[in-house]
Amino acid sequence: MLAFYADDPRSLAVLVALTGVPGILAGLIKYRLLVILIPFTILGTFTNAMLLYYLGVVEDPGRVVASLGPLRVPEFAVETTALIGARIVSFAGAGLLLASFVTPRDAIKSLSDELGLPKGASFSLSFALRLLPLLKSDMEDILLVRRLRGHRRIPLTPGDYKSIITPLLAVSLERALWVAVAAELRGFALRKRGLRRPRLGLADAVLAAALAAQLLAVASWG
Amino acid sequence: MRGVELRLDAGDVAVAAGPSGSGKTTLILAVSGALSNLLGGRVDGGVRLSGVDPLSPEGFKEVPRVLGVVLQDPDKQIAMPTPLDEVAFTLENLGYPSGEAEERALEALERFGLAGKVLDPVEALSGGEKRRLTLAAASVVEPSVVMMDEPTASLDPWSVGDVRSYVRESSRRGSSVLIVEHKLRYFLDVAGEVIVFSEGSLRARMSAERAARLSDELEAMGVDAGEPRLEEPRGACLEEVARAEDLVVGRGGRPLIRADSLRLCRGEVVAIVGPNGSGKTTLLKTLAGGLKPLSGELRVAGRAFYVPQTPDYTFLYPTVAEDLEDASRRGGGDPWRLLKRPEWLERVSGLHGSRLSLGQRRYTSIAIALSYSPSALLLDEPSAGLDLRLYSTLEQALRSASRAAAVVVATHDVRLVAGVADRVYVVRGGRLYEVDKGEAVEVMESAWRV
Repeated sequence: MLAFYADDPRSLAVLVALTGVPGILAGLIKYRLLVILIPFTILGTFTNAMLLYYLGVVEDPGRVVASLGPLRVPEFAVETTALIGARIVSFAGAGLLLASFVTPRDAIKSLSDELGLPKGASFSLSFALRLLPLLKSDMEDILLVRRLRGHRRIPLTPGDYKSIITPLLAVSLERALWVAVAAELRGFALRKRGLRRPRLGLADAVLAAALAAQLLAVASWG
Repeated sequence: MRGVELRLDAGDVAVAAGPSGSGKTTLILAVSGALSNLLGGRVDGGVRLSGVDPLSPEGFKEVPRVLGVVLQDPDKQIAMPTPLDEVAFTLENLGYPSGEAEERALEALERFGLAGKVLDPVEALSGGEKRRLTLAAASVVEPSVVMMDEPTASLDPWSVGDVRSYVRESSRRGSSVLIVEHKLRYFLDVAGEVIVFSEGSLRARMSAERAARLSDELEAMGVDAGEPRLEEPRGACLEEVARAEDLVVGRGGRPLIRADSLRLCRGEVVAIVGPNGSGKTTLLKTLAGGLKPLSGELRVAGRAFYVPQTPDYTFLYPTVAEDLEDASRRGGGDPWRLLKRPEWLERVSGLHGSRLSLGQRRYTSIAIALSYSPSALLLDEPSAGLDLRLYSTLEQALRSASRAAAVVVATHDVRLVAGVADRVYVVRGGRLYEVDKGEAVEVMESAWRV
């Protein structure tokens, strides 16, 4: 949320340093494939910015700061990519931190029992964590089939991404439906929240301090 | 489905069989209350599960206390990341305190041979272990009714033996067990009754003993009830397509299979058999060039095409028509050169591949692969979940495809090995051996009967 709100380079730098980088480093251990997608997303942002510049729809693109062969790169493309890239790194880092250090069962208990979140919402969040390794394995098979079907190895165009996302979504939706049915047949509707006081440890203190620093940065610089 | 009447007393075991689309899975969803309470379906009539009415919203909430459900695909059932979490999830839902839930979960996991893997990531478990985990999660509350949907799909014969043991044990404990299964013969000696469905209606019901004697009649109804028929190999090596010497394949640097020698030829169907998790999929992916061999020599002439166990991964476009068109364009071949163009294709061409039935998905994914005129067609569990009619279509498709490519199937299906395979490799103790086909069939058959 802070990453969406912040637009000052200094506050974004703090978010990247305290959430983005630790999250990406943690994600490299278990979710390398997802980490690899981050640069592609940023590259996509840069491509969009350049496209907007060349279509002439940008009112004040600023001066040209670099030339890549016949390609002129305006300030607008650099600034936009840096701003959105910092946001992407920050919230991807937050997601990867959560996925790397919290198990779904911990998450479902903490979110519902300590934070009082409705159990449906907390189950959805915790199952999302269980889905990550499955998505990784789905991705491996899809990328292999794409390659065998003569598609380029590294996805570049929207069509490339569509050919990955289409089967990924189809498989994930079917899986989500059946997991939900199975969870209900195993009594999820009966699950009760046993509200309890949160038990905080050193890791929580470090996390709280990092969050406070980021909040302060965004509050000070915007 | 219409006109279903079913009564199971304590300890009874019934098997529901019938062709795909006959309504067997719908039966489980209807009787458990999931169809009307979760999936927007309609169920008329009445159901009682140990006194609970699963069709009423209030009764449905009580269903988990009396019913244990095992679905076809463990990956579409397991919601938690470790076996301990998964089994404890059921107990915590039902109000067990965390400590007691963990204790009971550990006991259940020990009973199902997963004591050493309680905190392993689920992804690290083999298919057989995942199935045992779903059995543990379904049985941990000792339900009075157990329902299982295709519990042997994609399982090796040894794991099929585990499922049979579980059914016997549940029956002995007094649970009523309803099994929906294509491969009827796996349960004929543990079941009391066989119910056959066809096109949404009850077609026949008989004792399991009688069903064992009427396998021809049952097969005529589309039920796979007969024993596998050991066919003489029909293929012959027309051209060597792939050869491996001292090959080691694995993942993340961990070796899974060592193959001193492996040879694949156009004109032959080769089966690779072995326990779940033994590395058959990894071997196929390595042959397709998706993974690098850890060591040894591997030569593949031409293009090898791998069709995953989940055929949905093959569908990259929003519609089947676009997928086939793209495959023809990029592959340069006609998908229907070797396969019979199915009559249902026009009906489904505007849908995404995942909306097709499982048999249609498998058939279409093979057609896509054949568009690329592969020198080797590598199929992972191509017959899993197929009924008898679809299986016959697959058999013909494999034989046709082998005229133009080396066809390799990684399979647990003894029908496929006995009926179609020209040669058989088996993975045993991390090594790949070529074995006599009759010997492979005998080993597979004796494994599940234990």
